[in-house]
Amino acid sequence: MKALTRKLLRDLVRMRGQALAIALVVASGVAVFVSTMSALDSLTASRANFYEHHRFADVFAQARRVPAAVTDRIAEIPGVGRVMDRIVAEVTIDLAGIDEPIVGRVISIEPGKEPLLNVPYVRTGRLPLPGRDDEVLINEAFAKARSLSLGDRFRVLLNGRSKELSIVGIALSPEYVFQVGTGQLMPDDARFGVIWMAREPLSAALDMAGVANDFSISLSRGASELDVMESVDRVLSPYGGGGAYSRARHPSDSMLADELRQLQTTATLIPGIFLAVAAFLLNVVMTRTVQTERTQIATLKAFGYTSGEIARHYLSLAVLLAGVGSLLGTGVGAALGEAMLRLYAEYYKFPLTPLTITFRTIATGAAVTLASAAVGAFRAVRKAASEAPAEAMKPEPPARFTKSWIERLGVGKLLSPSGRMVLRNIARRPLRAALSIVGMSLAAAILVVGMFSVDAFNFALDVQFGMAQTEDAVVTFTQPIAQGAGTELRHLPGVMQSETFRAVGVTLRHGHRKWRTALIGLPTDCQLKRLVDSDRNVYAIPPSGVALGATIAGKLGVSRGDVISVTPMEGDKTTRDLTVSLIVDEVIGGSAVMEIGQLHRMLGEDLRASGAFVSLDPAHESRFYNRVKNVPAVMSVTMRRSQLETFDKALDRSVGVMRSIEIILASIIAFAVVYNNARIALAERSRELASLRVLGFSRAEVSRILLGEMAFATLLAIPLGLFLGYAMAAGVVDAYATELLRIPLIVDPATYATAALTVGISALLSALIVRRRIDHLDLVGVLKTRD
Amino acid sequence: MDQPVTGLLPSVPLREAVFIARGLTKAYRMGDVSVQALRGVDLDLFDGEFAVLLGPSGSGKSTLLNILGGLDTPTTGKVHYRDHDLFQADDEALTRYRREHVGFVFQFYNLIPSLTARENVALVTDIAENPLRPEDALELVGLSARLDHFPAQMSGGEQQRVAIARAVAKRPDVLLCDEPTGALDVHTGKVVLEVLARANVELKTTVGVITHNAAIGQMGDRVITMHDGRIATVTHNATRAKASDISW
Repeated sequence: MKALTRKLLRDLVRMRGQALAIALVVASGVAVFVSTMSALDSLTASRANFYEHHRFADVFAQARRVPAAVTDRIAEIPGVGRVMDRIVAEVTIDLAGIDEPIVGRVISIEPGKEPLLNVPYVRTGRLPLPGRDDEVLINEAFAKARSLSLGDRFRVLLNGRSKELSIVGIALSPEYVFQVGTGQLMPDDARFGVIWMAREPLSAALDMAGVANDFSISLSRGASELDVMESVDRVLSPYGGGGAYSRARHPSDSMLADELRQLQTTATLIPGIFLAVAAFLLNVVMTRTVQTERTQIATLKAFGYTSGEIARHYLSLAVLLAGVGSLLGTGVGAALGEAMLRLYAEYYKFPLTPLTITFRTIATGAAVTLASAAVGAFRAVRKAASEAPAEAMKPEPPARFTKSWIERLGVGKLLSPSGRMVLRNIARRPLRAALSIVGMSLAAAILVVGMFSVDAFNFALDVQFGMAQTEDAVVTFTQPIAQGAGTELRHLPGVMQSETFRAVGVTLRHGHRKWRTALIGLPTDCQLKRLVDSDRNVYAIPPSGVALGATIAGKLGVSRGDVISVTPMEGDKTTRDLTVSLIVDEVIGGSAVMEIGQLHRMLGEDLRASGAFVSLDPAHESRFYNRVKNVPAVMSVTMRRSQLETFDKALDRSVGVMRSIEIILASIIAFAVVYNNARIALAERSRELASLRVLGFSRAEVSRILLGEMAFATLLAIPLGLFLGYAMAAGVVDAYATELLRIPLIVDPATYATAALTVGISALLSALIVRRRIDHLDLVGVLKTRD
Repeated sequence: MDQPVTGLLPSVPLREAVFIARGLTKAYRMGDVSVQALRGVDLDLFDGEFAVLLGPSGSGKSTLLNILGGLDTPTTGKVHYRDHDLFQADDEALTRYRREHVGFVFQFYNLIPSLTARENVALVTDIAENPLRPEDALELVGLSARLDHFPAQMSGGEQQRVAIARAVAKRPDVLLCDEPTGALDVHTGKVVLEVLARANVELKTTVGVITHNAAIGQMGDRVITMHDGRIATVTHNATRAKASDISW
């Protein structure tokens, strides 16, 4: 082994504390990167596999009653590969012993045949056989959540008639990787069931013989999705269709895509921050090392080592640290990725391929790490290499000190000599002081970012379910019924208040932009559903025009007062212009709301209701549920309580785990930065401090000088870090925003306090270590060395 | 500066000049102070000679040595080592020059603290063309028993001998020593000087030693005294004293 290599290794051992801190920060970044990236790769591969093998369609469309011949017309559209027509209906599932109604979706299949598209993946059991009208396949998540197994029977309310069904198979489906039922915001396994049932009995029950209402279309190679969708819309328009949508708008796939996109953000954002901090730490440590070894560098040069060789030597130190961190991070990342994937397996309803840690992931992680290490070390290494040997061997001229500007203000007189030393040291190297402050504040910032999502989530729930949606249940009717009938709900047991609403699918257009959503008609004095913005302001339903959620307004590029055109998908389908009279920065859901009377007029219909919001007397809740699930006109009932539970569960599961990981990692950063700063300050000043000790200063007095500097930096760093954390959280909010959910930028005081405390405790621990070292300062030894 | 001749070694007859310096000046800044270190130096050093540069601190002898060793370049003037123009040379050429021809010994030894004696020597033999084995170089300075000791485990004299072993291990053409005994007591200093003389005789290395200790001048073929950035006197010793015979 070359002598220079030995020096490298021995140096590394000597600075093991700092080296370990840097390696840990690097490892943390790499671990997050490798785990999320690998999980992402596995999920993406699993999705692709699943979609391909189970022939997930490319385009989807719904209509009312479409004769079979029309299906052939769709098949003839250029670009269409396969078409599958089905009957899909919303039902209420009635499970024995369960009061609350459960939303179900019945999907027709041809018994004994594998569907052309959207093939269910039968995990146990089999598909229904021809002639067995009561045999059904149900989705696995629902079966698990409700402990249903093969041979179990349950009832559904199908077109007003109760029908008993028997489970013969349990399946997964590419259409329901995320299964979100009507009226639900998040997947709720226990309250949404998918049922595949033979077409004949289903069409008989629904009175839909010879007609279909749901189309799945696959595209042929090179086909234009947009062209196909427009043609499909034209064909289906006479049958109440016209809303063809692509995979990107498919509820399950778009949610899955959002999740994967968020994972991608996590895989880049968090490691990015960590590696930036690692680069920063390396910079500080390398600068310091090069300074300490000034004479050694000069000696090496005197013996004929080239600048290149010296640069390589110091660069290797940085690269070695990064390499060790990278290796460690990859190992931890693999384990973490495995754990994440197990977590996702609970959440994503498709067969997962094993964790795939690709060479690309490892190589990217390592390359980015090494690059950031090199960048971090660059300045110091360049200085080391360019130092003229004769210059470097001369003792450094005494550092220039001046009175700091604070002192010049006269404050200095109030300070003790050691206080003045603290102040002058900071003032002499303002850049270094600034860098350590920035480093520590980054640690605080990361903590804020890691923790704020929970605050935001809780806030969102609070606003949404505490203010915007105060109903206990939303009842949806199978089809719009006379408003008068809707108000009949009021007479059901337990109902304290009931307000009907009208909802209609619409296409909103502004210029070339369009957006499909539900337009909801509400009475101006609506109590149970209100427009609330993220500042908790409540808005009245505007008497004219339409109120848009900020997300939709953003998608359409409209602001208040603009005119948009609205094309309803039912009733009088004439396109009309509407003025945007209000834009509400809603927390959850992008809604379009208008006054219910206006909506009736626009649709050219009598007073009709699509559903109702009800508030319930808790004492009679179960009586209400038992009654309402047997009302023929009721398609589904969504309960606020269950939505809340689902949110909480989701929060506990995914956010909870990620959050603890982030907090652990952020604490590592906090400690690494603070500890490194302290060690470097000590190393740089030990000679001076020893001199003071020799002059008769006590240990406590000497410590006060160094620790005073640390305290000063920490006190500045914490508020700066909290502010930085808030700014970074704002960036995260943007990066994670999805169509449905935009995390509000809310940071609880408790989060700020935790971040501040973590940095403070790190600083205190580092101070204790430094204090111990000051106590053991070798007075004679320190003074003897020349450097 | 004539010294009584008591040594036993015959003085080397003046041979080919390996260093030729003409009109060297050097000015540099040290903090806020500007220093004129050399004010016009003309000097030849000859192949295989043992030259001692004497002078008080600040006389410019270190600066001159640094320029001859390729550690520094003059502000004006000419300086050649054989066919190397050390004034025109860029950093790369100076590095190569040092690597191929020069060995240095410093007042404060400048050993790498994290390397053992053997490894400190290996540091130089690693990059030399035809070096001694580090063990042999250390034997030359009488440190065979201390091969695996770290600098912190050795006395100042031992450290300086490691430094000399390190400097001679690559069989340099020129050995330049800046106050090699400056940090040592008399006895240890003599041991170190002995080693330098051996290197000069046995390895035929041209040796330049700078010191403010006039007694050491007795060891050299020539004694060059410097004062205020100029060469004041050059004295030729008829015979060279052995290190053990001089005293200060």
